Amino acid sequence: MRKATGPSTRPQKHAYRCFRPFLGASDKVYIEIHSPLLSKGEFQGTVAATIPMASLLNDAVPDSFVQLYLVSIVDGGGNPVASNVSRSIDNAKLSHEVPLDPPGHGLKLRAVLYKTNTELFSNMLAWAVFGLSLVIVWSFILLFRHAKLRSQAEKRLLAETKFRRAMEDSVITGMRAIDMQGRITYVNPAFCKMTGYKETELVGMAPPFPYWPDRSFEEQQTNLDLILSGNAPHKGIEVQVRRRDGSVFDARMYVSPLVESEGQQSGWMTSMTDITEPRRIRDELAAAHRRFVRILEELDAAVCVQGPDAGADEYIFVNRLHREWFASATPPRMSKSRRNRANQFEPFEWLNTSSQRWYEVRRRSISWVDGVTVIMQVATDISSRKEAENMSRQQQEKLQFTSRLITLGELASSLAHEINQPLAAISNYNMGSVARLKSGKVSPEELLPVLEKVNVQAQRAGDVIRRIREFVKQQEPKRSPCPIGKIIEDAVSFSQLDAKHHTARIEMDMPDALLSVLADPVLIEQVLMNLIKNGFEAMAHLEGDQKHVEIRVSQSAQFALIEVRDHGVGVPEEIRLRLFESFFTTKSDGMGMGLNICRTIIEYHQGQLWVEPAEGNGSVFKFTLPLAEEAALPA
Amino acid sequence: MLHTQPRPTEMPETVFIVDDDEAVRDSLQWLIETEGYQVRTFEDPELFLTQLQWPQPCVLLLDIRMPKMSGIEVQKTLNERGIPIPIVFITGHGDVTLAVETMKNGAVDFLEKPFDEAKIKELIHQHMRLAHGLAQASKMDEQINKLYARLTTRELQVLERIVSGRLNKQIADDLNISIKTVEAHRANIMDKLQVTTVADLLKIALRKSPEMAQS
Repeated sequence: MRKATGPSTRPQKHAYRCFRPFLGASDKVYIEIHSPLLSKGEFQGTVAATIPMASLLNDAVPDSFVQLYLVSIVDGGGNPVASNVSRSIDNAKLSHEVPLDPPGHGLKLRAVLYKTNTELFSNMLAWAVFGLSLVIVWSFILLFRHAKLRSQAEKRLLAETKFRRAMEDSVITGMRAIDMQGRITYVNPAFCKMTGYKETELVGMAPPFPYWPDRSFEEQQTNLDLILSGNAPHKGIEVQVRRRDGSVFDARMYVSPLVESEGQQSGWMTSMTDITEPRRIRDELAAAHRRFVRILEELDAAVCVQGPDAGADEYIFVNRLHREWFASATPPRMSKSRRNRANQFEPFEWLNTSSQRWYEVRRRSISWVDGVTVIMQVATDISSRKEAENMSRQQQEKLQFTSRLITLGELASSLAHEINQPLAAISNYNMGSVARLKSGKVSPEELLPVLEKVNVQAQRAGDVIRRIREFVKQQEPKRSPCPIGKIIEDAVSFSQLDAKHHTARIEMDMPDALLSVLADPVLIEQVLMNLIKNGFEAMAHLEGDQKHVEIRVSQSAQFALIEVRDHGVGVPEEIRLRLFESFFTTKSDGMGMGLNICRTIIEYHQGQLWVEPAEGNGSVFKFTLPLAEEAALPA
Repeated sequence: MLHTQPRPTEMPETVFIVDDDEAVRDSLQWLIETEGYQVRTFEDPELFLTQLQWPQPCVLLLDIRMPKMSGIEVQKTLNERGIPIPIVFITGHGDVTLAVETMKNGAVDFLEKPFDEAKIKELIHQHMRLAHGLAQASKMDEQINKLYARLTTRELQVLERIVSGRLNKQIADDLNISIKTVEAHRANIMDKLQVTTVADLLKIALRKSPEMAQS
């Protein structure tokens, strides 16, 4: 280094000056730097330094850098001035130049990457970088995808959780899970709401639970045992639950096992429903039903309900009277054809033959509680009405049918009475008058009105006689051929009411029913009715089953023989002789005319009427009627 | 039977006729009046029953068949009231069974229509005689009842024993009273029953209760 020789011309504080590098000894390039030395602002001298460029590079550039790069100083023309190595590299691509200042003069510091190793190495590195970059990108893509999926799953999970929560919150069924020991592991909000306890209070609690009412403690314990043993009924258990405020409500519990994902049962899930309201409604319905049934039961009509296609004994409902009345027989079901226009059934009357009661039966279609169309039947007992009708019909029939004969006996007796009255009066007036005249105690003035009265009475008697004559004229029998069976059947049917009255029955044995007799049917019917009635009366003392009158018809020569047999006491010999006399009677209300007239009628028909003791007991009245000519011919 | 002969001056003998037939009633009245009886006719049996005054000498001619109330019912009613009025029933044909029933109820006789003059008069006479006795007996019973009503319970007890033939001493023992008291009761009884002899007393007592004589 050389000593500065002159003051620096640069006015700068650290002014220095570099000189162009120059080639020194042993071909080394040197550079000389001059820097003025100032003291108290006054130039004192110049410091000059001569620095070999190669040393500068060797000393200043770290070894690690030198191994990788060729570091050189180049001049303005690009020619290396100094280098850390002597060989040159012409790889401009991988070089970098930095101007060197100072010393300036176009000097640049150049660093050139050695073409170290080979191209291949360099390529492999590049490829590796590239490949790694791809891996990184791919990893990023995967990561991104994963993150996206995860975020979606989380969203779904969140939604699901929210849904579950909402569902759990909104459900009105109380859910409770217990472990195998009965300890509560879970309750839902509805359960808490129902019981009034908080979830935190309930969870972890072991039985007995605070919501068990005191009075049904044992029952609850039993239920819990039942649940824990796995024997809870499928249809649920009805329990009472006490709320925190002490009020009690009815609930139904359903139990199902709680099974973990591993298949292991961890406890029991019970769902609980408040059934207070349903039960109240059910109770009200039941009460309403009871009232309804009670009314129907107490009704004085028999009510039943049947499905439209039910069998005779299949009922949906029957009331008490129906059971009582129709225990042995039920009214017949009606065919659909007997419905009227309004699609309802016509009411009809029905006789229960076992009880001998008449019923009016009304049926109608109604919509049953389950919506099915059923038939309701209401039957009322009309026996008394029917009986009254029968009575009146009976009287009517009697009036119409027997007006000609009325029991000819009664009429004749009444006529006899009527004719007796004026005769008795006339006789009395006469006797009184005679007595007075004999004693001479009477004046013509006294006598006259009495004689007039006699006249009146005589006329009265005449009227009676005229009426009898008219009556008899009406009674002329009109004989014509007619089948005897028909006459008997008619007489029997007219006597049925009488039979019912006497609780007796009439049996007919008529193999020759078609025999044609020459007779006035009305009169012969009267005779038969009279004989049947006598038979009933003769058996009045007997029990129901024994009371029967038998009518038999047979043919004998030119006559039909009709027999009417009773099972009564029979007719004693002495009475039998007088039986057909007029005014002879053994009855307290009889007139003693019936049999007399019967005999008269039969005799008029050229027949005969007589009585014989029957075999066993009772009597048999027999009469004959002449056969009509065509019937009399041998068949 | 002379003592029961009709005594028209004393009391009119009445024949009651109950019949629903106006002509029969009227003609019977015309006939029976010739015998000198007072005749009263009724169409309505109930009216007769309300108007009848007993005892009096009377006979009842009663129709069996009447629309409102039968003769038998009238008879029963009279029996129930304890009126032993003689009844002659008026019957027609065919009333045999009815007649039997009236007999059971104590009917006296029957009159069949048309009437026989002789028979009707005979029946009425006969029953009127009976009626006198019955009426008198009824009257006497009434009197005795009145007298009896005056006796005290104790006196009745004493009388009962007198009638059954007990001596005063025995009666005193029976009733636990002194003989003197019995004698006093006895005197009172004779006084109240208006008799002077024991024989009369017994007559009255036996009439009042015939069963006592048997005991």
